[in-house]
Amino acid sequence: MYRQLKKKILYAPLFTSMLLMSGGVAQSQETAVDFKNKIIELEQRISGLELLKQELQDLKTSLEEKDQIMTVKEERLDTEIKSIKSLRKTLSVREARPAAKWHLAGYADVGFEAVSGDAKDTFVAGKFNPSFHFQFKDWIMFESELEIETSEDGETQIAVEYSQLNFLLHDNATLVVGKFLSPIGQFQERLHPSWINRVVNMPAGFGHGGVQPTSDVGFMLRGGVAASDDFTFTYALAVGNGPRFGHDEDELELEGFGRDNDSNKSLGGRLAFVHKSSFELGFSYLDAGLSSEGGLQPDGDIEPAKSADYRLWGMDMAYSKGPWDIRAEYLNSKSTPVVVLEEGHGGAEPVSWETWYAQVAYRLSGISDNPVIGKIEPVLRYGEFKVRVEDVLMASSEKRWNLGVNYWLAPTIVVKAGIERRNFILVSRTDETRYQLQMAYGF
Amino acid sequence: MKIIKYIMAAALMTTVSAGLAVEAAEKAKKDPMQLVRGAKAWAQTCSRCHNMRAPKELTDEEWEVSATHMRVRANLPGDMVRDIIVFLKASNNEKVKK
Repeated sequence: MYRQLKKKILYAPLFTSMLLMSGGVAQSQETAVDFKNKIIELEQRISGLELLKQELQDLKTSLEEKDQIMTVKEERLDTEIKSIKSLRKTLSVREARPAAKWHLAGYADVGFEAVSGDAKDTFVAGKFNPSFHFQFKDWIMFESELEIETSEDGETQIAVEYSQLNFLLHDNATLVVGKFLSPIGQFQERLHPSWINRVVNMPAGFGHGGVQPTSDVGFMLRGGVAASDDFTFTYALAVGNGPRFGHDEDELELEGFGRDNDSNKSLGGRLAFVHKSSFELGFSYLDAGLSSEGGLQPDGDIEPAKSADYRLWGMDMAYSKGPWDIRAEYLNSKSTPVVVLEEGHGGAEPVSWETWYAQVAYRLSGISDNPVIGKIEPVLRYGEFKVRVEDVLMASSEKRWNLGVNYWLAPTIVVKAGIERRNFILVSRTDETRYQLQMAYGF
Repeated sequence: MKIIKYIMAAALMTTVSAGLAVEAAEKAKKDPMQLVRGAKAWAQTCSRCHNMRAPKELTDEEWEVSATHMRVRANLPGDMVRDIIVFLKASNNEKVKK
């Protein structure tokens, strides 16, 4: 027992030592593996850090590049903002300006005319009529048209067709002050521009030496009122300096004079009804006094003092719808001498003027879809003009036929070809046939 | 003396009517049917004397002035002219609108 116990006691330390020794070897073996693993792990971490470092470097480079781009963009943006600010400033100035607006319009024409008999064929220089319109808000408009043309002698002639201030008083009333086109009839005020007139010339009795007043200086109240859903009533009532005696006994000066020579103002105008079907019917009237102090004239003649009452009345109609343009106009005027007992007065003679015309134009677009044929417009006009001095017919009296063909290159550009036959009523004057070509451009 | 009376009367009418014209213009701005009425009036009135110009020929501003010129020349009522202007401005494809 003791021996066994002793043996056990002896063996115990040995066993313990061996056990301790075996444990120390195992521990030393685990530490090496761990260390190796840690080294591997550290290497991996270092590798990861290297990658991160590279990524950071790339990011930094990218940020720097982007920063440069942003700087460039910011500079551009600054420039654009400055530009926009400048534009806004300009626009704000423009927005403040529409109170005053303007527009340039007008027309011009050129042509050729061959006349039967002894008259020479000739190119016609035509006219250039610029028209200026200046408007302040919806209150006032100033408008003026010049007529610039080359005379037969080659001189440039400039005339003021009209120069007027329009006060837009009300939707149905405008006050016109200045030199204005005569509101009598429809041709002079609305149809005489060559791009609107369907025939090359004016009708007989219109223009110099005719019945139709061309303009007046004074003031005029005018406008339009919708009388019903179907009708519009229009009016123009004018007071002006009025006409004067002409150089010849059968002529009056019917254009607007800048100064009145006799304090007798003309009073006249036109009333019209317009149906929604584009049918219009107008009535015109003009009353004026004529007087001349007489005396030595520029051409050496001695004129007696004279005075007369002048009255004109007229009617006009128009139907313009689709391809049709139908118009007619009648004007009648008389100059009746005022008998004055004072010596030297009463030199005037009774003179009467009468004119009328009827005109039909038809655009072939009404019967053809062909783009060329549709721009062709045949036109026919017939008119008469009679002047009587003490009931004796004057040489200027005539019957006039016009036959023409128009070709519309554009809505405001037309080429007109026509034949005009003038049959003078007195046999003492030879009839004329005129072959005419004209190109007119409204702008 | 008669002329002075005429001028005095005209000046009075100008003063009274200017206010009415501005009021009418403001009223017209709120009407959505203006375009339709303007197209109809444009087709009916312009061709009474001349061929119609295409709306694209002029700018908004030029149409305003041109239409006012025709208001006076053709005795067109002011409200009709405002309708026509609305139609022309809507039809001329001008990029810059007020």
